[in-house]
Amino acid sequence: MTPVEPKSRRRPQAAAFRGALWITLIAVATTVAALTVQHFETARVLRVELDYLLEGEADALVRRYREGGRAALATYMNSEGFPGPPDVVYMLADGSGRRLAGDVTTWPAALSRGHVVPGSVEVRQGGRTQTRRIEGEVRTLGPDARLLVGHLADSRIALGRRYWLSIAVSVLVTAVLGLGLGWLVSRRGVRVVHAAADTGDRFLGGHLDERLTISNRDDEFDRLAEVVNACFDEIERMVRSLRAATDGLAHDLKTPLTRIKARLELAMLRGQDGPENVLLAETARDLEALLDLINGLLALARADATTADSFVALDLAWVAQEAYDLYAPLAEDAGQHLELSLTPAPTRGVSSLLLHAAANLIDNAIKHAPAGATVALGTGTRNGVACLTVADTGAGIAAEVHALALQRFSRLDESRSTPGSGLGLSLVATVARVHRGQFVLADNVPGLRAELRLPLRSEQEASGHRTLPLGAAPSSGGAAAPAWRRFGPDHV
Amino acid sequence: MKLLLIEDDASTARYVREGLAELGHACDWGQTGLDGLSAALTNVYDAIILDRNLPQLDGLSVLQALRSEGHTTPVLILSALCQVDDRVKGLNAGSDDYLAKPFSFTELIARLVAIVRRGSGTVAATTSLQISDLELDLLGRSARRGVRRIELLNKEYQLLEYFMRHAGQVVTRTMLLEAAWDYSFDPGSNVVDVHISRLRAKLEHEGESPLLHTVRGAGYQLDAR
Repeated sequence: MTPVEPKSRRRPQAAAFRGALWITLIAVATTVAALTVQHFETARVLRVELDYLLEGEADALVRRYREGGRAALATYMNSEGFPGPPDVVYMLADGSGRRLAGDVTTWPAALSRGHVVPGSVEVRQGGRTQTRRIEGEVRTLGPDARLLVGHLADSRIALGRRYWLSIAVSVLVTAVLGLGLGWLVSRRGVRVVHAAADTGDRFLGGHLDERLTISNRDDEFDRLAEVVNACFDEIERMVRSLRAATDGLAHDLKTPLTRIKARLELAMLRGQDGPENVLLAETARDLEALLDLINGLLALARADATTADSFVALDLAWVAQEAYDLYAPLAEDAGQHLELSLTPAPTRGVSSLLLHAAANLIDNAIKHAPAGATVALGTGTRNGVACLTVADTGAGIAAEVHALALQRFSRLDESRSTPGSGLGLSLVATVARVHRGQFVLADNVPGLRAELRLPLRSEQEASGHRTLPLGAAPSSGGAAAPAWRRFGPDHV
Repeated sequence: MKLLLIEDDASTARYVREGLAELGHACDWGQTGLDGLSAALTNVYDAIILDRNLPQLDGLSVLQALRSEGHTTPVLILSALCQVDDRVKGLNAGSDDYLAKPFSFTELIARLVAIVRRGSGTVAATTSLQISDLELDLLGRSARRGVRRIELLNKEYQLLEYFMRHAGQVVTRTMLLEAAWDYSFDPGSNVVDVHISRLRAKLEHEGESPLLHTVRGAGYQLDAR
């Protein structure tokens, strides 16, 4: 098991910002809605008050007209004591719109009749004439008199402007606060997720005792952590029991087998070259076949329990070179061409397992391809993976049974006449899986193309380890038990 | 050879001892780690065969106790566990060789002979090895037979060096695999045989005496007979 490549790290706070963005959008929408409601409600109240004010003023002037007629009203409106409420303008005009009294100078064409109507009028105030926007009440008093009572609309227009300004300011403040605070708040969640991902990576990297930390908040994160930890516990238990079972099985199976073998050998030693020795030799051969099978199964079980903490930096090209050196004479004797085409394919893994897998692939190709066939062994990198490919020009395997070929004990040869246990390709598949890679069978047209694809080792890592294999001693052939060494290119 | 077998399975121990006796080797037996350790500390043996999985005191602890007492007797570990890391663990603990169960007597004897010879200092530090007219230059990593220079591939050189360091001894296929390839798995077929026949063809040209012999049912032997 190897750690998952942390792709998400390219946008480290993406989730936090997404969370903050949503919070901000919601806050902005709420603010805009609240401000709008408030604005229109205020405007409505103001309008009602204004209507009431203008109506009151107009009613009072109409009463005065009824009591004293046009001239009296004009006199009243022209008197010094008639300023009226601030911001309110008046005009008394004759039937043709000529001004008789008031501070509006010309009768606005648009305001000929009606209740409260907006429009622009000429107003003389403090000796200056200016065009002002008003909302006014128009009363027709008689054929020769009409009355305009208007309110300067500046404050209401300003209110409208202020509405847009306050919307803009609120949205800005909400956005800044929302994004900032939202990011801070979401970050806790994202931090928990990141911590969990890192822990998971270390767990997959072989540190089976890694667990998520559980706070004392007892919140959803803690519940998640508890569930994930329970899964980790279960995986750890299974991996450890698989290892223990494999070792126990190895011991329990091999104790009686060791006895049988020793007994057989003893009998052969004592029997010298007697006729029983033929029987004994045949039994010994069968015992060897049984042992091969058991060793194959144990190797599979051991490979299955491999974790990333036993991985080292290595290159599939060295693995392929080793396997090539081992099998080249064999292929040549079988009348086959074993071709080698190596380019660096840096990865991380267990060299003995990868070598075993490569050996199985070549052995398989040599066994099943006829004399004259070509077996091409190659390594390289493609689409971000390190590949080791063995392609032969033999009979191949039909595409529909490719999956079957990877199962344990599957023998595509119905007669089971070719040698082998049916574990070879399933070991390769297991080795690929524990290295978080893939094992792919394809048609080589003609023949079989088997490819082991493993995660590519990153550049920094590659340069950091490059000196290791090259610096390894070429040989320690004199010792009965040679020092353990990594596989590297050999030089004589 | 005078040997000590430390093995908990009485039945296995009996057959191994009888087999070794048939081949002319005396073998004491300790059934537990403690029995074995006390026997190893009180008697002198040419080599010790130590099972890894033992009651009371496991094989690796026995080995560590022995080595910490300053005993240099060659030790061969027997184990049902035969993966690379098991082997490395055994060798790191101070054993001279590691043999997976079940094993054959010929394999056991060949390995015992190899570690006993090495322990007795027969193989000294040297810059060249010679047997008959075959000479191996360890510094130049080159071989010659008489005046004829032999071109060797890397693995062939490693195989030949191993043979020459164990001249006259029977060398098994698994010993060769471990020596030249560090393999813990059996590559099957007749891979080793093919390599040996190539090496033999390079060593023994027309008219030259045979040096690399096949020992039927056991392995090979480099010897000027």
